[in-house]
Amino acid sequence: MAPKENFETIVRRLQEIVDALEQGQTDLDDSIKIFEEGLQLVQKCNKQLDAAEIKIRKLVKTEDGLQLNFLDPEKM
Amino acid sequence: MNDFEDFLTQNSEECLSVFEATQRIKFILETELPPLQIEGEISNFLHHNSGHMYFSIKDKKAQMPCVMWAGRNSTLRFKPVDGLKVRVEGRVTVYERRGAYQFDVMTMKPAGIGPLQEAFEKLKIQLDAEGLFDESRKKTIPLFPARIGIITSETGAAIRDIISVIQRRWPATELVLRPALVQGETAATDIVAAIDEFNTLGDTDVLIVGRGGGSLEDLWAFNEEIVARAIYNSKIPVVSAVGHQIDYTIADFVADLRAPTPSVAGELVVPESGEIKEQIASLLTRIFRQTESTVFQARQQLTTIVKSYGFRQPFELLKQSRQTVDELQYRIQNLAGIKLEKEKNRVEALAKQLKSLSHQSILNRGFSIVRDEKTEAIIRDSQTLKLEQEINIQFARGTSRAKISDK
Repeated sequence: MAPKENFETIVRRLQEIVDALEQGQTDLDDSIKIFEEGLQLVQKCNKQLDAAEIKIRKLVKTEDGLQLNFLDPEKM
Repeated sequence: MNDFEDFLTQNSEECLSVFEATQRIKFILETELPPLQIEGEISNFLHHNSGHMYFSIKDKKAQMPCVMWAGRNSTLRFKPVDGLKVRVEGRVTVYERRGAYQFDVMTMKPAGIGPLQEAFEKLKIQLDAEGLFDESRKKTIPLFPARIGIITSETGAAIRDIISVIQRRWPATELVLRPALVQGETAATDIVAAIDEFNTLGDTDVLIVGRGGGSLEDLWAFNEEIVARAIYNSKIPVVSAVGHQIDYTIADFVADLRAPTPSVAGELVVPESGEIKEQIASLLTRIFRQTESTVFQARQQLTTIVKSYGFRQPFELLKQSRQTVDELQYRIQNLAGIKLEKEKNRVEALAKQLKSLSHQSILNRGFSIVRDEKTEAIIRDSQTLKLEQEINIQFARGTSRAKISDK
């Protein structure tokens, strides 16, 4: 599994952006840059939050090592 | 000879009836034996319609029939069942009609602290002394786990409870079940292996280790020392989730966080997505508000520049740039109230337009900045200039020095 961008990191960066904007230390160019970044991060958050289905897998030990198999919760 | 000895002694000619003989035996047993306290396991338990309880207590070598009369058993605070170890207090009596002796139970209680309970207390004290329960070494549970490892039975209610709670609260995650035995002799080693496997696999943010409630014997794996040490040594934070509320296990003490039930474990490891959405929406509002005010300030700066030097430029260009800024500000104000996703593209376009308003792009469009040659202060008002004063003009590319020749 390619690790999805950590939600916690995204939220922390969002908070930084808000702080930077509110402290007014950034010039217009940078403000717009991080404003855009902020919007993208919010979109990313919402996308993750709107994921309807949880992913469920099963950890199985085989001769080749540890494997993550698909698991259908309906069949449990 | 007194009457008592007379009653028990038989002279050679006398022949006793069965009843007479039984009476003598009864007399000896019931008078000679003091009240007894006996510990044993209940078997063949029968709670008769009459309210009386009939059962045996036994150990490996012997058993003894018992009766506990309705009047006495009505105050029992537990339900006697076969196999339960109890301590009974009472007297031996003889039931003449069957020629059998039986124990007449006055009181009955579960036999004191069992060997399991004793082992539990001993291990708890030992591990506590070693520092395995220290709060200071407990790991923090991450706020938004991307992958949650679950070690429990594949068929139990626990896994279904955990899945449904997490699905409802925070579906933006991945659950990985490592099916494990949670009961029986090999359960402890299986749980240890499972914890190790997750640590080998890595990339897992938190582990839930648990099962539904049960008797002390059922939960025993979670009181084993090897399980306690595996939890302690896990690099991944561990949430214990064993049984219903009141059951405390050694695993609970050593875990980084104790959940009283598997469902609660689900609630503890993930936040509620609705609440997080609200928080993010409030961050978004602040981002909009601040950017709006930044743009407003930029507009004021631009106006200043335009006022000072605009007269040197074609009037039309000036008007256009002011209009662009006005429009931008208007659109950003509108945006703040509108749903983000639909407006995202507009905002991006807007942001690009805004970028073109930075001071370099203004220079590119033909504006210049005039500074005092010595102090490098920007000159905003021609009134401040003196004749012969040296100034520095910054163009889009390069700068030039100049002297004021006319005022």
